[in-house]
Amino acid sequence: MNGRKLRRWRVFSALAVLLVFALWFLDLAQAFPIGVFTVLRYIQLVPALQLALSFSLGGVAALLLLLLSALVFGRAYCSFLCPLGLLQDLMSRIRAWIRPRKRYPRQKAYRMLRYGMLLVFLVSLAAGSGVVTGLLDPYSWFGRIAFHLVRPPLTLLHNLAAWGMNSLGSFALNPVKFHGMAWAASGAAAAMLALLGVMVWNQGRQYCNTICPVGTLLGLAGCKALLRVHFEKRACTACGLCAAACKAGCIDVKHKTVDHERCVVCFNCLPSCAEGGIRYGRPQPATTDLTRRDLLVRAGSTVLLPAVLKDPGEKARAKAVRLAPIAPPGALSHPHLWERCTACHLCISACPTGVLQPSLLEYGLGGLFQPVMDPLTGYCNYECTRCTEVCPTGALQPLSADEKKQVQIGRTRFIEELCVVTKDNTACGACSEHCPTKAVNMIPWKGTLNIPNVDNSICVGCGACEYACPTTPRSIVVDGNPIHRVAERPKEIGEKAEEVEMEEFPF
Amino acid sequence: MRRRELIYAGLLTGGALALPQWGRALGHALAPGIPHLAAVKGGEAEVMFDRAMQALGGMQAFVKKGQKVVVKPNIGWDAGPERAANTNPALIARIVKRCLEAGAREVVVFDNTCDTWNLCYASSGIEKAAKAAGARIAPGHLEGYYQQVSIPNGVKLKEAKVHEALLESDVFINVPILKHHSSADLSIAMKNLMGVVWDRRYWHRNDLHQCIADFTLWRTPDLNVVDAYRVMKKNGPRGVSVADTTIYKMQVVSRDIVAADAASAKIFGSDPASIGHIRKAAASGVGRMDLDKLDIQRISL
Repeated sequence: MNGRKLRRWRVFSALAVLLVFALWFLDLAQAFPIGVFTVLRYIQLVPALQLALSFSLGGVAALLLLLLSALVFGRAYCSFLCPLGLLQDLMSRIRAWIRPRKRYPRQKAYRMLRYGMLLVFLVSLAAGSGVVTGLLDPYSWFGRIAFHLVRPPLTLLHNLAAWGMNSLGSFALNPVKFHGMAWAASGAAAAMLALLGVMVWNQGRQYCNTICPVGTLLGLAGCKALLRVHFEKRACTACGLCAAACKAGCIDVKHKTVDHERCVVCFNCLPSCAEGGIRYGRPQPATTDLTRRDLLVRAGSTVLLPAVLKDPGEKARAKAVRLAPIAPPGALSHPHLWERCTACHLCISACPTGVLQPSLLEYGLGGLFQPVMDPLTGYCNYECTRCTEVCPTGALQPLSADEKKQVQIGRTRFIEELCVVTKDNTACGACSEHCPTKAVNMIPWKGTLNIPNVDNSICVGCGACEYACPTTPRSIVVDGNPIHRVAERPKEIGEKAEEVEMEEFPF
Repeated sequence: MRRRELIYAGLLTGGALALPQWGRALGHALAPGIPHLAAVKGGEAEVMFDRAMQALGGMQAFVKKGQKVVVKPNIGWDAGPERAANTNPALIARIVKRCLEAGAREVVVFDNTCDTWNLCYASSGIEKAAKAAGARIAPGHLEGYYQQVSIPNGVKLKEAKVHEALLESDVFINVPILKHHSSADLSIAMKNLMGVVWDRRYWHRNDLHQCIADFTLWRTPDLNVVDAYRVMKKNGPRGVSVADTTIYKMQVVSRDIVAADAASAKIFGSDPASIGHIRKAAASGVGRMDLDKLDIQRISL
């Protein structure tokens, strides 16, 4: 296959992949079957890594497959599968429209910086800090950018279109509920997007070759890949066109070498060369240019340090949480969520009720932006398991509907002195109305009035009572369980209805 | 415009606006042999409905050619029909069908649900059944659908935001399901009207029973069809499992929302006078709860 075809094929497949990723996060009507989301965890490195760390067989297989692909194709992942990389390529395309003749400069290798970031990443994995992992994970950044920056305006457009169509008499589209901007997470996403914009404008894929640990890791795995971009030294005239087209700035024309740790296998250099001086394929054997120091740093960062460092603060953090936030079902415990969740916000975009929100400091800094249940915006639907099914990292373990109905994510506290019934002596039972297990039940109080009574043994912590409560502040509050518990099944449940035949009408 | 002209114009407009109401009331009063309430037992929900309508003069007595109809079931919960948390879908489909047969231009079905709306619409079976019967399903999950109305005579509830589908309709058919209710004791026809307004928390904060009764002063449905085929006897209004339900195979149909509630309360086994909102609404004169003085047609199948 010639270079032009290779590049075209790459662009086409990347567009398709980017579209799929965008749809995952922008499925406004939540119409996609859950199955389409499960693919994700096996084609993204950090989710696969997180799964593998929790000994998921699928995760291990996916991780091996992704690493194997780097051994064969080099860092093709960065140009074919990484949504953040594809987003940057889209920005490069815009740059080319604005300044068609602007060349990409040759970039410094920034080895120490890259290995340093990889080291931080591996340490955070080993120490179980999902937040740091997530702040370095390109997939999670893509999720946050799509969810917080693209979804809100898209929702607005969708709703304008829906209202417009409704007013013209067509009801094919229904407006969707917008659960509000999470300003901190949106601000972080915007800052990231701006950083990427500056980097792409000046240096192309600079982010991928300075900060991104996934790029560095795959670069290390793929620097001696079976197939790679290489010079045909006899054909090359050292004109430098390939280097000017290289977004990674990794082509050294003078020495006719390509730094495969940084090459993202985008094939942009191939069609730039009319002489056939640069190709993708199996190169002639070449001598290594690695120094002994490089090798030592690599060995240290990939093998030694994660093994040495163990998380000292897991239990301490769990204890430090006083008014406990509610972690979504399947999270098992706050520490498990901290460790595994990279805050990609796919669960939040899949939640039909809006109860899932990005946290700010509810879990402490160690849980920044991780999903937290907010009973003021919605409550967890008793029958729903969507978040547990879409999670790509295993932070939320998949639950069947039956299992989920017994997972207690929090416990309910009734504050009698704030309740409508005691304050105004009028009937209310909104909390009990919404309770799916009748853990909140109405019991006789004064006169004909009833008052809520909580049985936490059958409470699942869904937050429906708190959501429905009409008082400000709420008279019924759910405290999260730092470690999820098992609730008992509600009493007197069954699948059979009694039949009564009345002989006479009672009136 | 002189003052006299203004008064005349006002009187004329007012009279014209009130004309349909007068016509309706007159028609009702003059119709011979039409009972105040029809109660049916022993059949399938849709069959019982047809029999009740036969007794009440047929659907054409309620729906005229070209009119817009709102059918308001209870679709409050993400639960299947067997749980009896939502109105029987087959009954809704039959009502929609009869409205269209009577010449309705459009039949709209909606509810401001408690659980997430699209989940409720789907699992209740009502969306599918009503669509198949030819109705338009309208969502009710956004405040933008609701417009402010005032209830000058309301004791506690002076204003409410009401769904636009109802504001645009000529005929309003209320189709609740009879249920136990943790706040309002029973959820029947009057309680079902909480699903046409936006802010229910206000009602809960401000004497729920009084607000339920007050809202009937704004507009009462033209027809109330109480589904008492499968009745949630405890743990209402959401219910926990099928074990909360009892099969009665009954139905109550009336123009009078208070009478419909009173009769349904009796089926449930409650004294209507013990239910705050029934008592308050009867006292306001919106309808009657003195069942023994009413002309009731009882039909056993």
